[in-house]
Amino acid sequence: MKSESIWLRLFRPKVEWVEDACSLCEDNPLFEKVKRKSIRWLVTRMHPRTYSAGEPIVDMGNAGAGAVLILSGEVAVRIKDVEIERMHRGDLFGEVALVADLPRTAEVMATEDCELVFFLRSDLQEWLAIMPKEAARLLQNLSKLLAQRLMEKNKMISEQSDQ
Amino acid sequence: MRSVATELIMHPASLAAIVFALGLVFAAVVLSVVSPIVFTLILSTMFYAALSPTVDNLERRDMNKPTAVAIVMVVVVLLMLGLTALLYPAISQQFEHFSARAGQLDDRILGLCVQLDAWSRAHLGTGFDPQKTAFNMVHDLSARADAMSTAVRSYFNEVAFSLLLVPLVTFFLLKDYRMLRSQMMQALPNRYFELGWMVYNVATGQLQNYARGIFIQALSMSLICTVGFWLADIEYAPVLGLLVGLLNLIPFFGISLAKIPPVLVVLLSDQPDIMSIVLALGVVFAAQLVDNVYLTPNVVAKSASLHPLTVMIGVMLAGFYYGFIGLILAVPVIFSMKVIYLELLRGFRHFGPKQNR
Repeated sequence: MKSESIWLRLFRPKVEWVEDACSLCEDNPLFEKVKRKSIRWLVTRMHPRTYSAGEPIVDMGNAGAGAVLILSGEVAVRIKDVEIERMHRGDLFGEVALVADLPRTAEVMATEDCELVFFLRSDLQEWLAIMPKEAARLLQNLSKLLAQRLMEKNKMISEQSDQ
Repeated sequence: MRSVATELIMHPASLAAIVFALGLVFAAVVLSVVSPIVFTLILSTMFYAALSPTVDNLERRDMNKPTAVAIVMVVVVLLMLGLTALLYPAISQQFEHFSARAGQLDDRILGLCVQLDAWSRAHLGTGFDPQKTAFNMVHDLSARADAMSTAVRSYFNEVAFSLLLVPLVTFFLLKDYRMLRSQMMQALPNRYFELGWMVYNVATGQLQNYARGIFIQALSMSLICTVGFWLADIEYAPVLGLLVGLLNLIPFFGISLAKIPPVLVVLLSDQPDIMSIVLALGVVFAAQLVDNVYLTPNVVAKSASLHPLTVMIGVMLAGFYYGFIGLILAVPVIFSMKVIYLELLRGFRHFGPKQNR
């Protein structure tokens, strides 16, 4: 996905990235047990974007419209200028924004040219209205992921307080 | 340190105003280009909003989108053709009947004034000049009726012209609207991509609520008036009910405009009498009472909070420039502009570029 002008972006066929994003979603725990057909339906409604190295993707404190899947490139996750993680192809970040209009808890910046796909909360709501069973599976997976993260954070806090 | 000018431009209110102004310019250019088919587009959008839940429902049952859209459109077009074939002869007959009676309006009003004068002299001991009063009434009524009939005729001419294109545009909207919307949003710069979608989602949600409120209000008023006119034995009850429901959508002026058609119909009936006029006005009053006490506060006002002066000036200007359609669309358009500006402001205030970056 090279950088391109607005008029070309408007009429660009989506197919070139859809298959790639479908395969990455299938391997992601968020889409566990969701049928490939449903994933494809959802992916065709997602939004591909390109970011250059050094460009901010997500600002800490700003509300998020959805989650982001990395198709290619690398991003750095930072909290108050402290880098906490690097994410690569196939990783998904910002999942909390899929369920709530809450401020982002970290800043994400592209460390090299990236191809990303935005999975918006409005896409999920639309999917929930049209394919409620499949969307419910994804929401279940999301709850598991968030619960797991909460448990990890609790464990970390308890370890820190023990020390 | 940034200059004062940059600070001013980067202020959320200024950013929102700049984006809003650019949006208005874009909308004005698009409207001027599509002006010959703007009514078709509005009607198609309404059909799209009404039919898209059915298409979604079919998709939920494992049907692919083009097939679902094709089935829905075939059913709707067949229904419309069937309804037109059934209703057109009856409606055109009623219009001919009504036009034939309209020629005798002077005599009927004079007869009514004579009746009223005789009753007043017998019971109150005082009277008036029936001929002079009848002349004034006819003059006043014909001026209002002429203006209204010109406006309504141009409105229905546009409807008739649009009916040919509406199914085609609705078909493509149902099939491709979401894809077109996503592709338009792709034109946003990366920094404002998420903000753009959030503003779009909140603004469309509020506008949908408002449109639903207006639709429920018009439908309820039409139903109440139709049943009321039918109970009061006033002719053309469904057509009159529909007309009153539509006229009632016009803020401030609609209240008085809505009373003209039923009074005219009573005056043009075979035996016009005071009681029927009182009943006709009573039905409209009762419907407007329900509207003011229940519908507007509970269904419409919650979604549209506009200052009365804004509405009054907006309606007058829209009526002056765009006639009947302007009167009907003034409030929805003002409300849309308000929602979009406020959402842009909220977006830039909370989620836009940081002030001291």
